Amino acid sequence: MIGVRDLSVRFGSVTALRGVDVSVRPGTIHALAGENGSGKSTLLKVLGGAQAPSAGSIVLDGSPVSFASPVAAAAAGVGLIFQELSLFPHLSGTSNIAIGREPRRLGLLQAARMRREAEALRAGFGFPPIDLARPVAELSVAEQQVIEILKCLGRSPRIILFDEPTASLTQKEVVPVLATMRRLRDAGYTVVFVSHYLEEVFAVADRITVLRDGQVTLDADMSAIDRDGVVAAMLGRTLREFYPERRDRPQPEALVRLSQAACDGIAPVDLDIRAGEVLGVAGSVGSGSSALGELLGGLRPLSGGTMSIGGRVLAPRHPADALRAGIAYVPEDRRTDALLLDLSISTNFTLPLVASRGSVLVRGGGLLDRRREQELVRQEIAHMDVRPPAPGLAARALSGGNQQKVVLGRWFLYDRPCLVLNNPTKGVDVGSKAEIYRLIGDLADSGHAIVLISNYNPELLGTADRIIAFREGRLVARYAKGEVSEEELLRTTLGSTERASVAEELA
Amino acid sequence: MSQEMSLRAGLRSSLAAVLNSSLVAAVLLVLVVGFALAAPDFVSSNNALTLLQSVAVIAVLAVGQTFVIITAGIDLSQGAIIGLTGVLGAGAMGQGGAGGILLGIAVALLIGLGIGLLNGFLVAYTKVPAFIVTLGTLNVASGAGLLITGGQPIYQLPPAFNAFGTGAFGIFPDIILVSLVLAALGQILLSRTRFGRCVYAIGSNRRAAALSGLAVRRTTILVYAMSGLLSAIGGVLLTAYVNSALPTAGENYELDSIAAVVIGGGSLFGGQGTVWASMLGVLLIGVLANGTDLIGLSNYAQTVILGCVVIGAVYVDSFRKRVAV
Amino acid sequence: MTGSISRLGVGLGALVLATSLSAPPRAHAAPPKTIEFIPSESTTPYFLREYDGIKQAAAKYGYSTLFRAPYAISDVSAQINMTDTAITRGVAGIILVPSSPTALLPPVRKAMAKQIYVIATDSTLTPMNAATYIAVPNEKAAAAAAEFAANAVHGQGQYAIIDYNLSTTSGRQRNDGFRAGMAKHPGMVFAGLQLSNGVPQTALQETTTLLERNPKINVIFGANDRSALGVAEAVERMHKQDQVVVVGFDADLGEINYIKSGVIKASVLQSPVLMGEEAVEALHELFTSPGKTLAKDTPVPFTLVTSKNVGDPQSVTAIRQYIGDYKG
Repeated sequence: MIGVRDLSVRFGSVTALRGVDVSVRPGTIHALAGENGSGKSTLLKVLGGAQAPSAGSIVLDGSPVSFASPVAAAAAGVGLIFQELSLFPHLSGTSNIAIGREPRRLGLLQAARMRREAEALRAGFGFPPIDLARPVAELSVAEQQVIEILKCLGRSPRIILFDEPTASLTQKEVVPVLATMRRLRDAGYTVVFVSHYLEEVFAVADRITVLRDGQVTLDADMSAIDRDGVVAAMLGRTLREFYPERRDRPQPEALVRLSQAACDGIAPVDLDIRAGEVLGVAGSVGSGSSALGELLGGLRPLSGGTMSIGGRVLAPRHPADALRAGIAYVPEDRRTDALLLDLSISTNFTLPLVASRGSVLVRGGGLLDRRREQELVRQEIAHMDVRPPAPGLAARALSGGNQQKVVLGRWFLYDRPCLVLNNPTKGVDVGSKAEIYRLIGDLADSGHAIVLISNYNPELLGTADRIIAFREGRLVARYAKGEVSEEELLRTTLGSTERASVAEELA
Repeated sequence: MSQEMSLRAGLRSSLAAVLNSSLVAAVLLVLVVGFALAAPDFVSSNNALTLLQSVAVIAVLAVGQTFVIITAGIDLSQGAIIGLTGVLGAGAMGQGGAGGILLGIAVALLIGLGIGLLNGFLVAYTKVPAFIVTLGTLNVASGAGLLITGGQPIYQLPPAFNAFGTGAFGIFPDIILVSLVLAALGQILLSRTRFGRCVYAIGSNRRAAALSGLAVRRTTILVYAMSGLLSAIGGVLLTAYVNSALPTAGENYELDSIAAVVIGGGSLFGGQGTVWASMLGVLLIGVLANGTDLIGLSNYAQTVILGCVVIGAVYVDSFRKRVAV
Repeated sequence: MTGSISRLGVGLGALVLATSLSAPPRAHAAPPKTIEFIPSESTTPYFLREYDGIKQAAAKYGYSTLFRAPYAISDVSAQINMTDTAITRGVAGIILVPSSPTALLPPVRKAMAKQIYVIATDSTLTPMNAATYIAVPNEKAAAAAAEFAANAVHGQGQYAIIDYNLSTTSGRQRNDGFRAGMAKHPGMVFAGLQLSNGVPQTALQETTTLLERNPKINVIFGANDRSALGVAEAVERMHKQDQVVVVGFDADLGEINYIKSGVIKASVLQSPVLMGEEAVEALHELFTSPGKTLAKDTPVPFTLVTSKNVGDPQSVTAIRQYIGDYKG
């Protein structure tokens, strides 16, 4: 019904897509998958009119068309929903949904009619009730996404394109979005979506196209392939084990011990964190898993109980205290909390090392040893495989995966015995994810204590030696490696009222 | 693909570096050449010295303002500190000899430092934005100056002090030398020390800086304290140059120091800027004022032109890619 | 990398500086002589009228003129720089209203040494090292205003002064003169001095505050045109024109209207146009007979214009010094 024929897209000397042929059948959910830089987003943008082809054509209902802009595409029945929501934060949901096609009489907006139409749209598509009168900035991310979808649906498209619809959502919020896609397909729409998350692709898609380096490497019905095949098509090599094998067993003694430790957001908890192990911390947003990380990292003060490292009691009031004691916290949102976006890769790498007392990079009088710094940075760029390997480049210019490598790499330069990682693979492409898991494994094997907080259960199950689960501020379960299945873990973190896996959810 | 990318990225960042700092230098060169052609007196030793003397005090202020603006803050109290420290320092100096002069200078520096520390403390520990904090101290300092002196200027200053203010070391006026030394020290502090690195980090992302173990509050306080101290030094220089202390001396000088920093590439959002670039900004302002004066442009037209150039510089600035520290 | 490029920029600057420092000051061919007027502040109508006088007289002799002044009367450093620039420009003569009696000494000395003649007007230098000082005798004039005001309230009451600043000699002298004049009337009590910096709005606010705090004040002296304007406006707004005698200095159109309506009971009028002309005459003498020494002091007459005599021909003439086409 819609597709591309021999499509190529070039940006200057960079070729994003090369001779791509894709066909989407009407009334199906078609997934586009691939690593970062594979061209999947570009392909989606071409279909949606947001990117002009350099060669080749878009085919709609059998004949070639060209879209001058997303507006032109919308007029032809193709609606594009961007990854970065394009809502106006201070306008209400109703206004956002009607934007650009507001009903008017004598030049004045008909507010009541807009409200009625927006409500009808929402209810008609089976979305849960949302307060459409409030400014959208006050709504949750999931609600904003629904409004974005309604905005698109309001233009009566036949084909709907989703660009990474679940990238910024937690597990709980993902399910309704996938259910929506299913509903749309069942109602006769054609859905094309780009996603990183293979579980979702396998849960809802009817057909998948995998891109690598701008070319199609796999184009098949979901019933005909399996997960390994998809990963292989994405990476171009068979990954023996996505989650690495670990060499050593963890030490039995605790490096960090929490005794009845409590803070704002967590009820008293007893916990041992051992050197050489990866401790997985599961839990949805607000469950306390992040709060545990912030407690360890010195961002939240202890309100009760004790925390000790290597036998010494500590009560950090500031991240610098925790760092000095030996705990480094890597926050979830790297852009707002970890990266100095306008400063160079080099400065981002060496920041904690420079700040530390008795640092090797600081000579007498506070002067920096810049040559030594350059050496160390060069080594670390090679070690972490940061691309492009330009120490002077601003961190802003890097892709998500490379940015995360810089954020993690700084803790290799300033080595701390305990590393607390909060969702380190969020927004990171598959290839970089695999590298990060390898790094985590290496760190654990070399004797570090790693606390891996994650909303994404499969990675906990794949990398952790032990998993603890939080729900509503309490530590509710502890599992050893291999003791728990994905469904049970999900059930534990979401509570008994929610059902098991994503696939089951949708059934 | 990665080889190519890294080469291109490397080239791009070199180009950015050249466009970056040299943009101000290029504009400066164009202006100098233009003025020299329009008014030959522009390139005379006389005029060069007048020009440098007219910007010496602003240059000192701009050094302090650079640090503050890099931390995404702003110091509006600089001009008021000049006025207050000028009159208090001159008052303490009396007619004394070397001892009196040193006492007067010490009083001035201490007061400037004190006000700076107050600014820094308030910015670091309260949620009040730096704009408001320093606006407040601006009012307090200028009010205090007027209260203490009753509006009366202080005229009788020790001749040795005035000799320093209007004197020269060889062909270089003393006040220029002082500002150059301070600029050099400032640049070293900013680019080669841990403190300087902290300043950039705080301006770029406070939370990330804290999580990396930086003493964010302490650095903030130090930065404002420095700005206050440098403003006091500016006050001492101005008083020596003008041979009198007025409570309203230095009024609005902070606007010039902020303009100089921004023209030089400092972003008001923090994380960008260098002392040398701010000095180029100071020179630009001085050249503009002096050059338009010499070519006979009316007083009023001068200010309009200066405003346009500042806006133009910042506008062009938004397009260029910056080289990251 | 940034460091080296920044250094390039500074290096460029240093190069230019070195070139200019080694270039000698240029000698001038003989274009028409230029006279530069550098008052202490650029927006006061009084100085603009003085400039009119300067232009008129200069046109007579074929001299060209320039006007340069700082925005704020307190920006002494700017006036020094402007004077230095005038010297660099190689003007033939400078007419200066010094914003500080001591700070302007070095540039005046430099100018005189280069045969660039400097005439000081309105405010003086200490010591007076310009060729001559032309002004109204400020103390006497202010004392005359005080005398008038004291008589108007029968020697009983309280008086306040809104001066523009105390950094220029004229500002101090007017304050001192008014106080001295009032001292002759023991029934008049001094109620306070405020500074307006030549901003009418400030004078207005200060007057309002003074009167609210101390309703016994029945005389207020606004020591220049801008201050007097602010005082008059305040008194009018508070409807106190019958209780408070306002005396001022100078007369722009606003003040004239207040004098006619009686809000300002009297104002000391100087002769700005005349002063400008006299200054140019003095320069002309020096241009044509270099080496001549002029009298150090050249006093200029003042007129006390009151609400009663504002229509007299003598007053009209005096007002014409401020408003060229004033008809009465």
